[in-house]
Amino acid sequence: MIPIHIITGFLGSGKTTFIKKLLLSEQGHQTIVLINELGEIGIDNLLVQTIHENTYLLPSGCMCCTVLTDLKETLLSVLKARNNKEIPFFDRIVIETTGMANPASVIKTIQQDTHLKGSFIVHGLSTIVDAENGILQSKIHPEWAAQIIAAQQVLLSKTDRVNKQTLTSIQQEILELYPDINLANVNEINSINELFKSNVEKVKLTSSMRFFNQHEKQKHQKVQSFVIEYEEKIDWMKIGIWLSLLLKKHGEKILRIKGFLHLNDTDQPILIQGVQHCLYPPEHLLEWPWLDEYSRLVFIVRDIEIELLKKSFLLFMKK
Amino acid sequence: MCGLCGLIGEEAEWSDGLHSSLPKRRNRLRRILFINHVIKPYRLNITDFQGVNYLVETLTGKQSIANGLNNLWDEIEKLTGRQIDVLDPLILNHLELSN
Repeated sequence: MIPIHIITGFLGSGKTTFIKKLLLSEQGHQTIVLINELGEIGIDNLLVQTIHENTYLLPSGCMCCTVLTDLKETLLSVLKARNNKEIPFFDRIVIETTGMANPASVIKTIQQDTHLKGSFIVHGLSTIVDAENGILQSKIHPEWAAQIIAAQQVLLSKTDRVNKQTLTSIQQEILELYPDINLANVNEINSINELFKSNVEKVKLTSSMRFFNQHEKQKHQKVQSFVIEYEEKIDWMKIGIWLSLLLKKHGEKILRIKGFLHLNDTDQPILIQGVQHCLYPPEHLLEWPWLDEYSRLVFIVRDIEIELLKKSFLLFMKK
Repeated sequence: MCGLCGLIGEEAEWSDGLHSSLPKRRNRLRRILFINHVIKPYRLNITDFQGVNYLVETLTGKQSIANGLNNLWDEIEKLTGRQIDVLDPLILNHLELSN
């Protein structure tokens, strides 16, 4: 399985600069870079290509559509070329998405496509946030919130261009939106090896327990967060159907789902995670993070009636 | 694909990631029973077709075959002209009354 790390971030946040820095920092890494750009002519790939020949531009601009045929074809063609020894060997992939892309569709394509899921695995998703313009972008563009919430880690760029006060306020803005996020500076990751070093999601779960704090925010175009707590054991089949139907109809509005479930047939907690229409594979964990062993699901949503959603969950689980 | 009957296997679901103690076929029938219960207000009937597909029928006799849950929701929308919504008061009231 070839791990893929996705780098996203708003237009001009410094994604290409970050990737260039990683590639320059060490020799001999076997990484391929795929760049997806909005617009007629790709510029970013030319910038990166000068330092790293294994760089490809995805044919079409926008990665927002649900079926990402171009991404799929490019991934399969580079894999084939690698196996035929037409291009240098690689065992890791970095994808840079356009500043406007919704990262959920990229993850979904890699995880669910019949041809891709056997060969590639999503290692992680980092969102680069411009410390200088982040506050302004967060107010104007709804994509900004989606990119933060979908991320496993947020890396602040251009921190040298702002004063301490601005830096604190952008950090607060991000943490208010997503209290559990791994927030770091781009300077803390300096090589491809460091980017792929660890499973960021796992590090985060053990290091921070603020994850389930009740937290409601009316900012960011009515982005809200809430928790569903359920004392009884849950039927996996029922929650599968409920989530499938919910995400089919309202996936756009469900920015993030994350939580632990106590199922009928096992006492170990099951970790589930989702970003918009797509759900990550469920994982068995060895220990419960809390004593009562209740199921708790955190939702971050936009423009959806929370009470109705809670009611629907309870009614589906009860029958 | 099944070499004997030419049927394409069922689309893998996200929830297949966890193994159940029940046999696969039994699980599938439980799932169909539950879906039928939930969508009762939409006046549809879902049955298993060859252990890999779903057969959707309306009361007026319209039929469609679906592979996988995602496709099932699409076919239901095609036949009834509306998408199943778990927040729809019609479904919620029905579940409330039947619980």
